[in-house]
Amino acid sequence: MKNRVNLKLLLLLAAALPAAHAQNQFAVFADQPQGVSGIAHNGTVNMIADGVGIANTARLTVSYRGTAAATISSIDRTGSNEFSITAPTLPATLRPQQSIDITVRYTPATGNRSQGRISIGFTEGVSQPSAYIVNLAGTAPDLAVSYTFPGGNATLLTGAAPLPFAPTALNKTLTAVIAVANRGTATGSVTGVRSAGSAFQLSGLPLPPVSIDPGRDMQFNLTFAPLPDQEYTGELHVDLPGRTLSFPLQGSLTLEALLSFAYAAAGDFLAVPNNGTVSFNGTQVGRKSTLRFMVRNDGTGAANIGSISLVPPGPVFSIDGLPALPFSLAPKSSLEFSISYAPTSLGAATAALRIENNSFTLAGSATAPDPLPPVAIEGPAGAQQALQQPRYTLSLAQPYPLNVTGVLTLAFSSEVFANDATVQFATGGRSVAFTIPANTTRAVFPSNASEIRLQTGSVAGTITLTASFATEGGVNLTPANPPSIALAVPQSAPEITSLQLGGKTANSLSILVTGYSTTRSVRQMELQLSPVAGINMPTTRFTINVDSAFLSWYQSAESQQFGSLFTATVPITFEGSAPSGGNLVDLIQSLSIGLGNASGSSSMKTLGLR
Amino acid sequence: MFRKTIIGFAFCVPLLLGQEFGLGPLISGFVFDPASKGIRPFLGIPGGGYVGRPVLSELDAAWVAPNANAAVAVRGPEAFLVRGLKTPEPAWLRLEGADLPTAAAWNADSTSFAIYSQSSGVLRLYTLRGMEVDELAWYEAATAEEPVRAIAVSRRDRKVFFAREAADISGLYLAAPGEAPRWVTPLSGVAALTLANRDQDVVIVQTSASGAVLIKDAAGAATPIPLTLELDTSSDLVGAVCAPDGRRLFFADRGTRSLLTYDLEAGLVESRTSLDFAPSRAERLSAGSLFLLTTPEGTQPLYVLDAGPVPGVFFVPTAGPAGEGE
Repeated sequence: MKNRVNLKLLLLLAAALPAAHAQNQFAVFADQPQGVSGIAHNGTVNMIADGVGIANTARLTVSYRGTAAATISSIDRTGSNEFSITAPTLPATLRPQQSIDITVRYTPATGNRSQGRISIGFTEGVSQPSAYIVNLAGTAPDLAVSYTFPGGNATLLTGAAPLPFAPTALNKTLTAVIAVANRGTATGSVTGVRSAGSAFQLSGLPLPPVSIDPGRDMQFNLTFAPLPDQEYTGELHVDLPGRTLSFPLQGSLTLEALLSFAYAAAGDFLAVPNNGTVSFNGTQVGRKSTLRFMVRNDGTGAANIGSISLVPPGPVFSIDGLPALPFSLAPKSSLEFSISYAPTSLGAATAALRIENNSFTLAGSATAPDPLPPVAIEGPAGAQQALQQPRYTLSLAQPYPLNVTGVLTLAFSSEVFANDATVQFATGGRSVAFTIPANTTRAVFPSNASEIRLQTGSVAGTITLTASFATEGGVNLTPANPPSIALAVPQSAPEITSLQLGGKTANSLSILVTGYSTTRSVRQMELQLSPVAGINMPTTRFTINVDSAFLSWYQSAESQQFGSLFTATVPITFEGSAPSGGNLVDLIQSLSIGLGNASGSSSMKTLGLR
Repeated sequence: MFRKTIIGFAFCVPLLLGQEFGLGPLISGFVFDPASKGIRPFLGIPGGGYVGRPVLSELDAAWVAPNANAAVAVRGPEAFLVRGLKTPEPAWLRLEGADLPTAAAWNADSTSFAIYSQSSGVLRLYTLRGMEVDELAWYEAATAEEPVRAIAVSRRDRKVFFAREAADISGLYLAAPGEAPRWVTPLSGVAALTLANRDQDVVIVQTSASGAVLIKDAAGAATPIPLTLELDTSSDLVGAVCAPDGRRLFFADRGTRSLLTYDLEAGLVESRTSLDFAPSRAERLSAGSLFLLTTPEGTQPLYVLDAGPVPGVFFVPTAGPAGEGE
């Protein structure tokens, strides 16, 4: 029994006490952390715990304010077992103004509302037993911590297992949204949030303390940002009043390749990003520039390189030294190969180097190739006879490093204002292609021949051979003074190439005279008859003016196909009578024919007739 | 004694009128071009000529007469004699009753020709009489399985010499008008025949490095005389021709890319000339001294032998005339 009377109680006494009959003889006060409050009969003591499992205590002071004496015979608790009481020994007799204390302890097992009752049984004097009822109502916050990854669902953190961060690549991050939700019936409080572990960072935290009403939550971010050579474990601490919720954290590193690229022309490698440009210095046409290209894997996992290609695949740019693909490039290792630029024409050229999904522009610029060494066209030069078929070769003074293509061209300059269609190469026409394989000196003509022949024809004039040269890519290599050689068919007297008997009757002959005249002019024909022995002819030598006939022929379009060649049909008719009635023509042993022009006369050609 | 004969010379009037003194093109001969299926002229002469555009086209085969005036031509299932090759409108004469020729040969003066059909084995001999052509004879010369390998026709007496490969009767045969073919001498591996000594002798060219045999007086005693040609093991004779003067034979050797000149009088090889090409034949191109050593092929030049007093091998461009500024 206690006889404590304090001012506080006295002040409350007048205001608080209801007018129940027996129960009015008592005054009950609840002394709680939030203050003291009078509890009327059937009143309620609201007990608010700080959290589930955290006890909240109230001290009930039951004071007898009657004038006789009251005996407390029982103090019974009913309702939720989350409430417990500590009462004095009973029965306890209270004189006026005496009180007893009952300690009520509320330890919530959940965040749900709890209810209980304390029945204080008493008798006063000789009155009937009665009871003073004090109701108990307990509430508590229930703070639960959960995490949610992007695109995922909220998962409760219990602390039994770590918060698992998915494997994350170096220099990448993975963020979980942490929620502290109040599933209870009383406002909870978070006094602080901390993390441990260098790979884990908090963000988005409000300034503590943070009150969380029932049904509400507090959210913040927890980011896993792995760096090399770190521990990937940690802890999350959520500080609550009087306790700390701790949760282990677990991250891991994705084994991921991390490729970088570089190239070196000479010396150090220069980094080149995806879609960057690899530049070749100016390179002569026909030469080759080469650089080294490196693929490095700075990641944690192997890189599977399945394709390395050039677009277009060549021939200006080429790759050499590739390993067999697909190739597994281990972490912290590199792969090198060569890229060559071998321009075949002047100007800029580009190609794309593709390594898996990465692309690089190869850029080169070609400069003019080395000039050709001196070239010689060798073969007969100067004055040549008509109807010849001389041979010519073409060669370089020294080998040249590139494949050379060329054309040998024949030009005919007539001295007699007429083309000669027969002046051409053996392969036909007045131009012939050749090649000079790299590192050789001799030109190769069609059919793999080392020389080319031409016809000098039968018309006076100059035949000039000139050559032009180029690389296979078409870059001109022809010297400023191209090599040439000239041969000339001089103007000369006619030539008779054959005499044939075209026809014969008793008194006539038809002689076919085949020949040529490089001046395309024949003025006279000499005819010499040789009779058989014993026959005299008054005249055996005849000179015939054939100038106009040949002029007509040489002016004709038909003659243009033949140079100066001609076939003359010479009819000869004899008059007279042969001995013994024989044929006149049989009296001719042979005949000779010669032709002449301003340049001279041909030799006499003889045709035997018997 | 002969009465003196005064022979005058009447030439001037026709000459002044320019009607009979003619100047014209120079066509050395004609050659059949299998690629263009045409007969093409050799315009000009060796050293100053080229093969021109076809004068006849759409031919499956042709054999041109040495005088370059006529040809035996095959078009489709028919055989023709075409005359006037140098004229704007050659005349076509169907050779009635002739089986499709697979080989033909003209005599050197272009007065007769023989055609042979492998399918029927029949050899027919024709002679030209003016503008007409007469079939002088036909012979069942061979079978399709054992055909005639080479044919030659003599000038005056129009004898036909042919070589036949048969299991038991390989040899040289002679067919003369009015006579049945008769076996002359045994031989095998015949590549070509040519006539020499005014067509009295037959020169037989044998395949590979077997050499050649001269059948002296082939229509009479038929004495075989092996010719010492000093052949290489790689030799492959494809034909032979006799020079117009009858003194030399020229053998084309495809295997060694060379031309052998054989002196008939001395009976030995006079020279061996290396060639820039491999000869594929040795056949008469003209009535004169020109002989074909190759067949037109693409842009390759044609090669001919001039077997005149100064023999020489010439190329003949086949791309036609070269123009101004070409």
